[in-house]
Amino acid sequence: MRVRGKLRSRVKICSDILRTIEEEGGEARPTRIMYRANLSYTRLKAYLSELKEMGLIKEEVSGEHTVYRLTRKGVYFLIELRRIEEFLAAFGFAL
Amino acid sequence: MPAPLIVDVIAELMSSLIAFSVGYYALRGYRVARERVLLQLNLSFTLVGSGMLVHVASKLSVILPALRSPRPPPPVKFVPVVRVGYLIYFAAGMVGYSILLYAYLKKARGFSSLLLLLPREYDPAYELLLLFILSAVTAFSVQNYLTRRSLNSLMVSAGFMLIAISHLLLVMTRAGPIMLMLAGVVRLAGFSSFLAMVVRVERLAGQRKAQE
Repeated sequence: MRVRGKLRSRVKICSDILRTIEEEGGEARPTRIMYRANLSYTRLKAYLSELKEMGLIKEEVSGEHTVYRLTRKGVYFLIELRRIEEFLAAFGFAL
Repeated sequence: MPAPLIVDVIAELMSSLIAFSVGYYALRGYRVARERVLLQLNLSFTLVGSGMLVHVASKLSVILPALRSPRPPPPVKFVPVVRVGYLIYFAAGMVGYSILLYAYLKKARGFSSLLLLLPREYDPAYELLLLFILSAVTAFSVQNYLTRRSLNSLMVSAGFMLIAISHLLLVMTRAGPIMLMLAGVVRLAGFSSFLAMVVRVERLAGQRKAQE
């Protein structure tokens, strides 16, 4: 059975990834992000790479695991996105 | 110079500037998020603001020289440049509010084609058309408020409602110049409500930044 739904935009997916890391206390493992942001591993890798290049997150090795942290730029970007979401929500729109 | 005309000009100029501010705020969001709806909001408010600015300029082009002249000025609404200015204001409003209506209808996943009709200054027929479109936009925004129950969405609903009422008052300008003055003030109140929402959103973002 095919489930019909609205596709998420790129910025919404990036927002979901950054928000997941923020809600996990500022750092999160890829598996956690994958489940919380509802992405396949391949797509997650692509988005994480892009967010790293934009300087919004950084990759660190913590023990045996790789974790991703929000950078300062990433924190401010999330604040900006929230501002935009609130502005749009006032009119009844969403990202 | 009659007071209703002065109040109308000042209120329309201020409403225009506020519309530009809201449009610019949407553009700032578009530069970050690249979402089409932000561009639509930017276009809509910028067009409406531009229309009002052109309308104000057309009236000032008649009023300012008349202040220096000993002769009484002609009734503004019959002067050709003001009629052209009003036509531009009407066209910009139609397109601007239609862009907004299109965005709402697309969000609702279905839309019907709109027939746009192509007026003297504050012609009741043209004002009724603007009122019709604005009523639809207001209905969507009120629905949003009833769903969200947030102060921001209330401010937006109130803004659109006041602007719609201003167009209703403009339909009744033949009842007397007081309607013109009231319409300008009510419209300014509507756009001020948008500004208050933007200021509130910006202040919240500033508080979050300060906490980081």
